[in-house]
Amino acid sequence: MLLKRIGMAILMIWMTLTTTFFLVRLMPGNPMTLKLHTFLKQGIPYPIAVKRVQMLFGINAHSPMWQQYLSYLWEFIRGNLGISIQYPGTSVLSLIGKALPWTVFTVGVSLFLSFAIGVALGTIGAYRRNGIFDRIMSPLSALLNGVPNYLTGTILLFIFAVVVIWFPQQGPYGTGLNPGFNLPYLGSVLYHGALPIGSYILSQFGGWYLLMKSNTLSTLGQDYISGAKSFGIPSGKIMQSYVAPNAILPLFTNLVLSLGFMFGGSVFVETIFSYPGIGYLFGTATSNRDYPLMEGLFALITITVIVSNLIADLFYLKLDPRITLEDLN
Amino acid sequence: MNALRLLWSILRKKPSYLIATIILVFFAFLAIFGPMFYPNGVPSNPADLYAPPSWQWPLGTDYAGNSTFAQIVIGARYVLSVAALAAVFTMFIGVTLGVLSGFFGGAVDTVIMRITDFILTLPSYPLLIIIAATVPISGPVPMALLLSINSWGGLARAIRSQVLSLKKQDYIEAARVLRLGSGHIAFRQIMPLMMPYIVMHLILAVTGAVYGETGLFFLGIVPIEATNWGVMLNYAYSQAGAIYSPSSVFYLASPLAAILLLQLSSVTFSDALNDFFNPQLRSAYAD
Repeated sequence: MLLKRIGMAILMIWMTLTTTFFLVRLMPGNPMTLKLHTFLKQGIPYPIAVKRVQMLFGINAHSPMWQQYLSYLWEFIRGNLGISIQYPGTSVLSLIGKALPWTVFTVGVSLFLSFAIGVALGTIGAYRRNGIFDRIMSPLSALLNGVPNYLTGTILLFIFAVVVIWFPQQGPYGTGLNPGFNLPYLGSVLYHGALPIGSYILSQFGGWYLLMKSNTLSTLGQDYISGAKSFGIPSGKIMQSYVAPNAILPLFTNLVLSLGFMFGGSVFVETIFSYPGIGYLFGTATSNRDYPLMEGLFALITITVIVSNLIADLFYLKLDPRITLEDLN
Repeated sequence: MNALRLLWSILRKKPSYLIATIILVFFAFLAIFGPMFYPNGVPSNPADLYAPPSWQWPLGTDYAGNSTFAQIVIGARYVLSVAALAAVFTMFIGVTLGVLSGFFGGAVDTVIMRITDFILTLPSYPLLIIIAATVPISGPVPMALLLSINSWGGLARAIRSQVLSLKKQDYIEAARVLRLGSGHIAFRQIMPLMMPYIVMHLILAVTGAVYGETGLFFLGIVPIEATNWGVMLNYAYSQAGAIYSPSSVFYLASPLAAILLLQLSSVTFSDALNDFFNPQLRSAYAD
């Protein structure tokens, strides 16, 4: 059963690679043919032009489609994602490697904070439902939950970096700092990361609030909670040991899942704040039509989502003994 | 007539429902008639950059002296028509695949559900961006098709599970005994019962599509072809760093406010529709 689940994930990754390959390769005026034609127009002989395209894209344009496809898959497995067009001579893999830490930092911190805030407020909202707190928080969460992060990002940038200049407008850290494990540098990284992280949190915590509130409410209605109350267990203890664990448990799946989706959503936030993570890289790759970089980043983001899916399932299995893999499929 | 009266009594009882409906009707009005108010295009005065709101410029002007208000009014048509088309495409794909999958089961079900899983797994914005970068997109219909490529997954799943439970009802058994044919049973007997659900999701799909299209225009990935709210955001960002000057507040805030108002009133209106369609909630409104 476990092997089947892992096999499904590998199948998904293969489908992703196949889709990206044919999407980019079969389009009229695809980047490879264009490049080949540019070389030919420059008077470069055909065999040399084909060689150069092969160097750029890692694929021989002269060979039949199925051969190109197989060699693309083979090169991908070997970790060769080709050479970037906008940064000539730099491999796609090393560009991704440089950008990834910034995205992992901002997305990771935001995910953790928005989850913590949502869970804490959601518990309060459930215990004081129909109170003034919940009456404000529920509609607010419903509104914020649907708002994409490019709107919250633009609003935060405008308010906190243009109208009142409390935070920097762009970049990962201040100039003239020595990257490394020193206090001024780390402080600057946090200072520059505040607005991007704030944008994610604003568009995320509402969803956690609503989920946590409804989970807590349904847990509070369970017989074992009434049972615990009838034993005279203090309500603070009931909340900590009975209600919260059962209400949070289903949220862990969503937590791992949203990690993958936030990677995808980082395109907007990082573009707004010129924050050099993978989302920003994806944005610039797209505007410069840097296809090898685009393909590599898309594959990376999708594989992150697929692997988080897998981890979420396995995690859930471990946390909740009542669930079997059979139920998840 | 009865249905209309019920809808009215629901809207009247909750002011938020009524306000949401009025806002939606207003946006629909803008989308249909908006461009007619400005037959000569967006009024502008190059000497009046970033003007504050006034009688002449109700929402001020932008970096080139164009009226912000006029751009919002004219832009509503593109934004809403693409969103409405995308929502209809999404519904069509999602409902058809969901009904086929749930009704026929077996191999059909397996294949459709595998594809659905795959579509749901692909991160939506990166997918839209990579397609928009490879396929030339121009005009509202290709744009709407693009937006509906990966938006139908959740709906197809929900429809499938509804069909699975409806399929076991007695009246479907009766229809089978009468040999009414699978197509007839699936689309004539089962689908009407799911209409309320479909209509509610149509409204929510509209907001999803509005976010998708403004996001793509905002990033500047699809070619800019018409005045619309996403293009306004993009210009506020890219043109002469308008976003970095506090005087552009009205130019920046207007499309944001329009998008948020549309979202909020759509969500609220779909709640109202839920009250309307759900018999248990409906009884609360009976006089």
